[in-house]
Amino acid sequence: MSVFNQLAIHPEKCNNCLDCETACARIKTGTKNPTRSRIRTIKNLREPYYGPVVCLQCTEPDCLNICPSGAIHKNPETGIVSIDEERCVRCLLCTLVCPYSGIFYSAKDKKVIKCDLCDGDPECVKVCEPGALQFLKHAETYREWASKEDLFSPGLSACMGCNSELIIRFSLRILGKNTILATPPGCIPGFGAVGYSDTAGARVPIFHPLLSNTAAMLAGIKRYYQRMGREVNVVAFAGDGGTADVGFQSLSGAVERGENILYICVDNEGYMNTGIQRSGTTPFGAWTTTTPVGKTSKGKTRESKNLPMIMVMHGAPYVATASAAFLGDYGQKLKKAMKVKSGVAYIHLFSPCPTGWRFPPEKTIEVSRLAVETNFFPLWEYEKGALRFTHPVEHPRPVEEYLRGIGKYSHLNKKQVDEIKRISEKRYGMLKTLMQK
Amino acid sequence: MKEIRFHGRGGQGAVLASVILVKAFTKEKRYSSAIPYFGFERRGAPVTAFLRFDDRPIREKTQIYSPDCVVVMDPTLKRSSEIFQGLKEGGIFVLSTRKSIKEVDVPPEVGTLGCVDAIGISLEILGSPITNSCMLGAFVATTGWVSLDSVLESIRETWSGETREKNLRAAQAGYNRTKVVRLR
Amino acid sequence: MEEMIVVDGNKAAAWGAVLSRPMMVAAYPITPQTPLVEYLSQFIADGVLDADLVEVEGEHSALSVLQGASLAGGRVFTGTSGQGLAFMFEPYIRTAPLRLPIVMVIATRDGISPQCVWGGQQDAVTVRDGGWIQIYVENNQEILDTVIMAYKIGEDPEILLPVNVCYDGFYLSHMSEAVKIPDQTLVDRFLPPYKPTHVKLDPETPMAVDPLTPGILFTQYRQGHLEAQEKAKAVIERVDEEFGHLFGRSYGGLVENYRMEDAEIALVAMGSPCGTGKVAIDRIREKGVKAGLVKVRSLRPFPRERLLDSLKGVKAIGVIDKNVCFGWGTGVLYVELSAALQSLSVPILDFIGGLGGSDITFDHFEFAMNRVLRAMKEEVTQTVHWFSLD
Repeated sequence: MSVFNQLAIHPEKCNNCLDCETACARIKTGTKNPTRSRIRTIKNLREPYYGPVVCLQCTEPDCLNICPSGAIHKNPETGIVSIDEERCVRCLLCTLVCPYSGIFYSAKDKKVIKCDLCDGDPECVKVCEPGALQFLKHAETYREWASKEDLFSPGLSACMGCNSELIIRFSLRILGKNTILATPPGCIPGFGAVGYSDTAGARVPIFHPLLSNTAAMLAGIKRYYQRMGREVNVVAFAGDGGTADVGFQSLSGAVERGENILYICVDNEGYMNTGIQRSGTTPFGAWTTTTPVGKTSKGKTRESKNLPMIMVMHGAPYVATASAAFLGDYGQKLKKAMKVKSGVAYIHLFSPCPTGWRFPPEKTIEVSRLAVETNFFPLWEYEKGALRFTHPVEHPRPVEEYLRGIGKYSHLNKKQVDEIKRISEKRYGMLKTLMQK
Repeated sequence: MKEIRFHGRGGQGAVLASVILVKAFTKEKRYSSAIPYFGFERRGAPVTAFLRFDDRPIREKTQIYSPDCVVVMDPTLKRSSEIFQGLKEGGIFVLSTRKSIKEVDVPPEVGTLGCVDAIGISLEILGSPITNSCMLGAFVATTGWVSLDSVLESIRETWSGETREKNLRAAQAGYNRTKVVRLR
Repeated sequence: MEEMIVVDGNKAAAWGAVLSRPMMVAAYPITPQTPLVEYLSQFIADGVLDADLVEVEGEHSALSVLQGASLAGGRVFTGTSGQGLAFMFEPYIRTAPLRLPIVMVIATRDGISPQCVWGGQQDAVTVRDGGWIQIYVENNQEILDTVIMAYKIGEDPEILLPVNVCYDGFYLSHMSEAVKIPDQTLVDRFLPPYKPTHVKLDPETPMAVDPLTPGILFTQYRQGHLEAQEKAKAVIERVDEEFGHLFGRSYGGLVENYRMEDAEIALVAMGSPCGTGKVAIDRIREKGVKAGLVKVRSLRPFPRERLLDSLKGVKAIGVIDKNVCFGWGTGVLYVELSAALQSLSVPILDFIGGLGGSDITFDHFEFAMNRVLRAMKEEVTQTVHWFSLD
């Protein structure tokens, strides 16, 4: 299935200024006549829907199906639904069947008109001050991704619903062939990324470092190629244990020495590969087999090690958090991280684990998204000495919405939930403070 | 083979003095080795170094228990009974001391005594009580086992700039101002 | 031109490294190896050695960084001692099975506790089953020469194993004596650049290093590793001979026999005690005793054939162990030698000494040889003796 760039509507932000209609009429007809605009605004406050309406370039457009003269087409490259004026018989059936009221008859022009996304740069979006209209370009990321060779072998055997496989396949398409990968013991090599017996799991050089020495081994490799005058991406996909716990000294040494490696921590908040034991990044309150729920204790009693923030304070030149629910955002960060030349580029990837966290496998991306939207795991990046949110969430959803769907939190009492809230708010507040100039 | 034992305190350069002597003997095409013995590596702690030289290769990798010569870099160490331990009959004793040679009291096995106010000379020339170069001069003056030129050349290789000049002067002064008496 | 300079053992090791042209050095200071790190840093700062200096935060990372560089194809060097080696143990036991011919010197030191910073071979012998080649040396010239030979041995395509050059902490690491610095062009002729293909991380030739490897396949890797250790015996001998031809110094390969031709009693030792031991042999021979000394240079691989050959004619043997073997009540060399000589019915006594920096003296050697002489003549019940305690 193809994916396309899309005009998204946030009706709750619309202030009924009608600038979109004016802009559309101006760019398409050179007039200010709103009846000639391809976007309209529902003005009646008593209507159940209030805000802009416009063609959503449906995947299976009703207008296309009903058109008796075959005048409506959907471009397979761009996804744009368009009308062939030569063939159109002005029956107006399309305007009647569109469930979104996105196709109009213009009496002035004597023809059916609809949005054509202005060749990928919609005028209406540019003028919409309150942000009710947004042009989503995720499709470009996905298309770019799909056009590149998958450098991992087929048949990696991760748990159902695990997003690590998605993450590494996605990442390696961006990193490309000129890459050496280190995957210390954990889920990623556990599902076969390095290989099994005499088989290889990837089409690039890949190896098992020790759980404890990933950053040091990569530093040695990178320095060898630097001496040879060869640019090679030297990249770690390490779990939270190999990063925050037993591998931390090695990473800390590498950051201090300014080793030019790209370190991605795929954080599933515990030792999941060995059967769900607590790690330094296991959050407060979470159940694991070593922070069990029993008579005297109910999950982890300490908050997690805030590793990405530690990396910022440590002086890593590029640090970012990322999530598989926001792959476009992650892709941009990965590209930036690849360009870093002055030290360790560090990306902390939030990686919910259906097996270890106890939630249904089909919910992985939803859990990832909720973590971001509740500010439990905000998306930010740090470069050139400045921190910024890459997906600001001004009005976060209550953290309970995130916790509710996850089995490892099912035992939490109100006090524990309040503590999680306090920790989230504290960390978010710290980020905000650091962002103030 | 001659065996020499150095007694000093951490920071006075007893170990370095023994190394400079190995270099000096090497210049004279003789075989030599120096093994330091460290207690705790801190300033002021007693330090011992064991030096051997011979016309055949030195294979011994052991401390020196019956030295032909004992060199004491620090006057306060003379109170320790260990410094004379095992000294051969008629052995040579080179001492850093402010006392006049007549006032120095040594056990009967000492055959030759060399005394120099190494602290005074070192303070005067180097501005610090690091006595090694001065004591090397005293060692040459007392034993005659190695030429002063070889020792000075080795000192020249060990330091550079002003420090080199000062240490050369300290060694020369140590050589010139050492009083030697044969006790038997 | 070969140059003669006065250096301590650590500096001899550093010179051995310089002449071997490693592209990377990573080491963490620890007594008594500390001056080695300082010397290497200064050599690099002065441009004497053109290598990357990685100022690691610990021994674990020191060896790990070098494993990375070696996996990419570089020749690398490090050194450690005592607790440093213990901290390095995790990457240490992986270096040999990865078949990375890294050279690491060990300035040997006794293990804690009780707290101790002094010499003893306990650190190195404790890791003798880590799969590395281990060579123990007697003096500073041998340190320097053996570091160069170690690369040639380890990088041999038939071997591909890391090598430890073990020199006694303080007794060699801090002992100053004159050594000859071989001519660089001659060393370059002896030791060509390292160009690995067996294991290499390079995007131009992608390779998965260490996929999960179970059961029989794993066993095959182990078997191959053991075969390489066996083959290393011949390579160590050959390389020592080649070195002798080119530089005029050789060390007997796996084992050096000292005055063993007509020996009735023999001492067997490793490292610096061999020097004192040889002089002790000279002294007892002056009294008419037919004694000799066998210096075991290679503890891994263990030269059982050479030792059997050296010792088959003697009537009693004394082993000098500067280490202990827990669980056997003896030293390590005693246990190893006893296993190698099981076909000979000759009494073997063990003498443990030189622990915690204590001195092994001529008195000790005299004591040992008297006991061995007695064992030659009559049956003795006490096989293990402790210097200064017995």
